[in-house]
Amino acid sequence: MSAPDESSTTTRHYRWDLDKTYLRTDFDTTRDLVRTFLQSAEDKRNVPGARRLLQELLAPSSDDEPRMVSFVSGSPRQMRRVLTEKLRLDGIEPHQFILKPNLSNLLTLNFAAIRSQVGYKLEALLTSRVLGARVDELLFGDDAEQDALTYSLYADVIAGIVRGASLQWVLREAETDRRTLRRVMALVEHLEPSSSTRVERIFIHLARRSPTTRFDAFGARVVPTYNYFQTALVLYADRHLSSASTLRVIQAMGAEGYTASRLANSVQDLVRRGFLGRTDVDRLIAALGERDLVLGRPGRELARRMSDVLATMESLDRPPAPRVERIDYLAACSDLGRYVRERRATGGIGLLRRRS
Amino acid sequence: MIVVDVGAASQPSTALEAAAQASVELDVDLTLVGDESSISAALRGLAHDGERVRVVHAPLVVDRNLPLDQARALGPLTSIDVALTLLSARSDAAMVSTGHASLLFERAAALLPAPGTPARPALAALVPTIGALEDPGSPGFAVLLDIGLSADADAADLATWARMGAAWFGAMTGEPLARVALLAHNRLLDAAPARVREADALLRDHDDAFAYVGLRRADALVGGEADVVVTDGFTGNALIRGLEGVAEGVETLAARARTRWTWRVGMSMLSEGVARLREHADWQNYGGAPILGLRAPVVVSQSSSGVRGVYNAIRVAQALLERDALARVNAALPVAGVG
Repeated sequence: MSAPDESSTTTRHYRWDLDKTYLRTDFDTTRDLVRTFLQSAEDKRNVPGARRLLQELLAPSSDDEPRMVSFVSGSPRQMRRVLTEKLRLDGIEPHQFILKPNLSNLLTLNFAAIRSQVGYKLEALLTSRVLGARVDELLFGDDAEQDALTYSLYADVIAGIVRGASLQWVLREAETDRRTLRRVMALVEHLEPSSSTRVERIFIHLARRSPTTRFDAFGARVVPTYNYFQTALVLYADRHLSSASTLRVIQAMGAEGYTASRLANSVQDLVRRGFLGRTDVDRLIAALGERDLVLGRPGRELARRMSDVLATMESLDRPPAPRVERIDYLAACSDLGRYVRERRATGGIGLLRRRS
Repeated sequence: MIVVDVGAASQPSTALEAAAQASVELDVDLTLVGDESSISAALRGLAHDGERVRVVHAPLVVDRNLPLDQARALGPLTSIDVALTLLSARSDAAMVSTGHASLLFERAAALLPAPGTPARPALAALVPTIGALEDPGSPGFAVLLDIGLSADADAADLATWARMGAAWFGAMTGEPLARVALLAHNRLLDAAPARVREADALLRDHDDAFAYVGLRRADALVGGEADVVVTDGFTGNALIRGLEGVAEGVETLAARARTRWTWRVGMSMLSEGVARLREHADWQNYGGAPILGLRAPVVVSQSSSGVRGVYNAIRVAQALLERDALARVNAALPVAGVG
């Protein structure tokens, strides 16, 4: 854990997963894994908009709040040099950068630890916390692994909601190896009952296009998004991003080939799912309308496109995504296991059964 | 962009599941038309690509079994009308529908008439041919039209559809000279009805856009003796239903074979052949039927279409757009009609 910041300001800590969240990584086959391992920093590609969004979040603001980013990844430690170089090329300087000790797990024949995701990440998140008078965290993961479960569990552990035997049950259900489980339980034992750290939102990049109902059990704190424009919109609605920053994310997405149509669809999708309200949509459309140039066209064109797409909905007033007071982690572990098995059985995208 | 009339589907989840799958697997943007609230709720449970899907609300959904006059009385707020209106406003869109067929045909003809031609639209089905079993390089299908739009076609209609079918086959397969036949009960012209004899005369006098091979029986369709087979909508519909029945018969026989061990042994020895036959005869593999003679592509998916059937209909619509097939079909139409 980092030394406490004695000032009374709120520290913003952005904590990112790397593969499929920040980087566009393929590791579905052994060949993909080998290729990823051998890739140079220059060859590694970002998920569209991720770099720009992170840069905007880290940009100095008028409120003087300290902002920092940390990465916790399941990639092996042997990739640290290349990944650090990649982040340097992107202009990102992480406060902490934690990678998984896969080789030492292999050499000590701790195969369970190699497989374990939830326990490893929970331990890494707990040990790399930034302490301060008040720390607000935003967590970024994806749907390829168990990020929604791990991040929610972490949030509830530091909030004092999940502790002791119930945490132990969840970690066992999530197939955490014994050594990791012992270390996590020891860390949690020394946590203050209710920490000054608070997880505000958990963003899940839908790299695998999973059904969003998969994340209902975690409540509105978890926001599944199809792209980083959507993530930026929710952060804009939450007042984490200014309209200027959000527009810069749009420009970055445009440079990656995103069309006005796909961006407008993204807005409609968020509204339909209750993550974006009418007021924030109006605010965004007004900001776009004032811009001379967005995606190479007058800003009012994209604004009109978004208005048109929203006008075809039955209504813009949707109930916000519900908050969940107490997450049933055992059920979530079991659902996740079923989903992973289904995905393997169908040979690809979950819940899209190939009918014979 | 592909507009999918989801609201009018007999099983909304079927069209919706197909569209969701297409949004992930195909490089295509989709606009789903129907009851927006229920579509939005159902989409959440499906793996789909939210940035490629847009939902457009249509307040009324037409029951497939509603008599045409009652369906017509529902007015312009049905999902069919809303989808067709969206289509008519764009030049880069196609539509897929599993909805009320008669209303769709009527409204499509009214809202999307082909430019400058008096041609009656025709519904064109893809029929699997044995060519695919013998020669993997062959297109593996023939075009049968009309299969239900115009029961009372005259000779000029048949000749026009022959041109449209040939142009469509050429656009979809790249074959330069489609072989076109008129459907009859034998090859003898004297025994054919008057409209077929007259159409034969018109087609013998045609230009070089296709190869007219004369009259052919229904078995020649599956046999691959022609690439395009033309008939009136009444006969075409009866023929296509018969072929579907045969395909279902193969399925039923294969399923029955599992109940007796001697049959199971026999089937396992023939398993590869049976699998190929089932794959070949399965109508879901042949997608939907496009309406030819409109100014925008509209693909009709059969009422019994499963997810794969509607998914393939979306692929057909995408191919129509990518190959600009409808423009080629409409360009093949004579300005003053054939003959």
